Amino acid sequence: MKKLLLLIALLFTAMPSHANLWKNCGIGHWIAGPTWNGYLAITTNVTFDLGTTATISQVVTPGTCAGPLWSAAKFINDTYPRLEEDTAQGQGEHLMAMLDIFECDSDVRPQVVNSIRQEFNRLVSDANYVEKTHSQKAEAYYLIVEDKITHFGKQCNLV
Amino acid sequence: MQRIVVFLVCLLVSVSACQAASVAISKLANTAQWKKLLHFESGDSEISSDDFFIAPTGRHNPELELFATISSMSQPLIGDPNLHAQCRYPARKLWLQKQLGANWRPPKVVCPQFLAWKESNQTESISLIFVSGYLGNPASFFGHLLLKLNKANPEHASESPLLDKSFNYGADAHRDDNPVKYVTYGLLGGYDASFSTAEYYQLEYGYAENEQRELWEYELNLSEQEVRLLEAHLWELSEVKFTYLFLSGNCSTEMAKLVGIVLDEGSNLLTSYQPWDMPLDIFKSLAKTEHNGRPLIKAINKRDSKYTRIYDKYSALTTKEKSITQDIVKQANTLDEASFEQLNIEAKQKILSLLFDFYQLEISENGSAQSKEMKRRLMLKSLAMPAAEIQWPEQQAEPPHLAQNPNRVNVSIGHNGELGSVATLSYRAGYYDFLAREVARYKNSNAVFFSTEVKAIQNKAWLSKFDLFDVTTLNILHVDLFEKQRWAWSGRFTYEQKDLSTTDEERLRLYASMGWATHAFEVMSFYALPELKTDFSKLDESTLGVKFGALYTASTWWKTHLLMTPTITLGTESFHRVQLLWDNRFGDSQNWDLRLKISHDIASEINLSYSLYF
Repeated sequence: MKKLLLLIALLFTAMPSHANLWKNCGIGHWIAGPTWNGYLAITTNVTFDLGTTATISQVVTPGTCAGPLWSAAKFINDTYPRLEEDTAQGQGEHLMAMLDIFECDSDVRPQVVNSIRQEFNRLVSDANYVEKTHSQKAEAYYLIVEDKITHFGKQCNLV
Repeated sequence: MQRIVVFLVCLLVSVSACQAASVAISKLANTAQWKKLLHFESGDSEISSDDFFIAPTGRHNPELELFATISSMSQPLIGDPNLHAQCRYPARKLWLQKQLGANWRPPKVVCPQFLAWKESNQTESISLIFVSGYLGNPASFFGHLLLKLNKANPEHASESPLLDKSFNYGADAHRDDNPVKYVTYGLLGGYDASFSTAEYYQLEYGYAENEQRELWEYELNLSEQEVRLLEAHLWELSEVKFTYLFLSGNCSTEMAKLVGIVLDEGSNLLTSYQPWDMPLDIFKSLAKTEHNGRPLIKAINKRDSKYTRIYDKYSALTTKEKSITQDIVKQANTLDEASFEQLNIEAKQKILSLLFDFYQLEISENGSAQSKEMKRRLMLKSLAMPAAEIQWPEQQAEPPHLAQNPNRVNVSIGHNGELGSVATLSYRAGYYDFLAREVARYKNSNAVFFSTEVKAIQNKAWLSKFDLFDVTTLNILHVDLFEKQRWAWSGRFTYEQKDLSTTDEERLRLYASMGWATHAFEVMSFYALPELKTDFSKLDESTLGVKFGALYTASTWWKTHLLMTPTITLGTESFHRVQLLWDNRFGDSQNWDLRLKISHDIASEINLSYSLYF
């Protein structure tokens, strides 16, 4: 009984909470468009903190902010406009790159994409979709992916 | 200090072989590759961080630094392995292992952080990436340079490079720094600089999606050992500071030096005869370099900007598909009408794919609710169809190393209506003009820097002009879907003769203009730019005018530019005049061209010239 309870506790602590990913792992900072604050964009010969660039040896907090789910959450947040287009079309580099994060087998990818598309259709059908912030849309999309990928746990890697 | 280190090294190596080892190590310390690993330049390291060096004077003494490195790496492990010298300096360790072989047996230390980082990279090869120039930011006019560690692709993976680790070198400026500080610090070394890392998709999104810049990836032909060494050295450069210099200590400089660590001594990717480094020069050097008996470039791949994708997709549509696409943009409900519904699935999917890019560009630029709602409608339409399998035709483009060389020397002979026969000699430090070959250039633009022109008649020579900069971009959108064109703009700061009739009346002037431009067919562009000329030498001779211009690309061998500028002086004595220019480029080489120019500014002049680009 003790072992069972311990196992259950471990399961709950091992699976990262999506809310933690967005709040605690630095996901959510988003830059859209080429100019800030009225000055010309300085993205190029400049290193500055987007919340995304990092020193080379940065070690992420083990546990929550690590693994394919965290990587996918970051990817979804940073490339969401491309990802939503690819998902709508069922085709595209960003969609496939997201499945690369989960190391999904090639032959299962059409099914994974199809299941994500079905749920994404419901998300986009909401007339309030355009009112949502970038972060809200990306997070909602992430939840769909997390849920659907779980069903393909044997052909994709969630750990 | 050196004697203590040598003594310690001797204890570890072999007392009897101590002298020989000491001599060998001293020789190694003076090799080019060891100094490159320390970023030595003219007797000192360029690295400003003290903790990059083990020896207190390691920054100035490569021999001492090598002795200190061997000594530290030979110490037994105590405490955190990640702080052991073998883990802090994995590239130095790799290099020492190769140089000393079995003569060096340091204690075995496992480096958890470095190994985890290496494991996440899964590096198979290395690429340098040319990011095309961006005329929205002066620091970006000349383009940018990134480095990418290319992942080995397991069987299940797509071949997308988006998850590769990429590296940027740049100034540690703050985005709130004002332009004056930004320029001054950037030019004079006021900023620290460092290498930083991000997944490629992050940088790719910023450049290609937000700034509409092309990314050209040059994969390098390096051995596995060389790739490992460079990867390990990037780890060593974590949190290390350099001094940023916009001209000679920039991304080109440091990335070229980084790759240079594994190149032969005679291979220098930097151009030694000029005091500045720019990305284009590095890629031209790459193209000329052989390494290990093969070209240093293994493969070249292009990643389009969002705007180029829109242009290419639109060009690939049939006439009917283009017409329906235009109708959809004008009237969204066309999506539900028979004209769209009757298309086959592939045609519909192609149109939707194009419109996704189009509306996302609109959203990025103006964030309109209408565009967002339109994108939602497009997604719903697409989701109602099966997954697309669109194969877009591949568009050919010349890679940047084939662009015309940036430096230019020009000699011409001609005739001036007032002055008689005239000879001209000019030199331009960079970068390209309206008539340059259109390879790796911001289309319909002019970006000239430090251009000096000297003229001579029989008994006299004079400075005709010195342009500090002369930049124009017409910002023409070549896709009919866009209703609003962008602003065309131009700026020029010069010290020049008053007009073509004078030889000793120099003026300091600033030209600034903003207006409109459009295109006809694919080969003609037209522009109208109202312009203010501020004459700092004689303010009351400042003028207001309009530049009416036309550019025509007849073929790769001939491009022409016609410009008419009526002006009126703003001073108490109003004076009207019209300046005219007809300029032609003949030739399609990276290295030379012929020019024929006819101009009128009080006096008329015709010039025939030869330009050499290098």
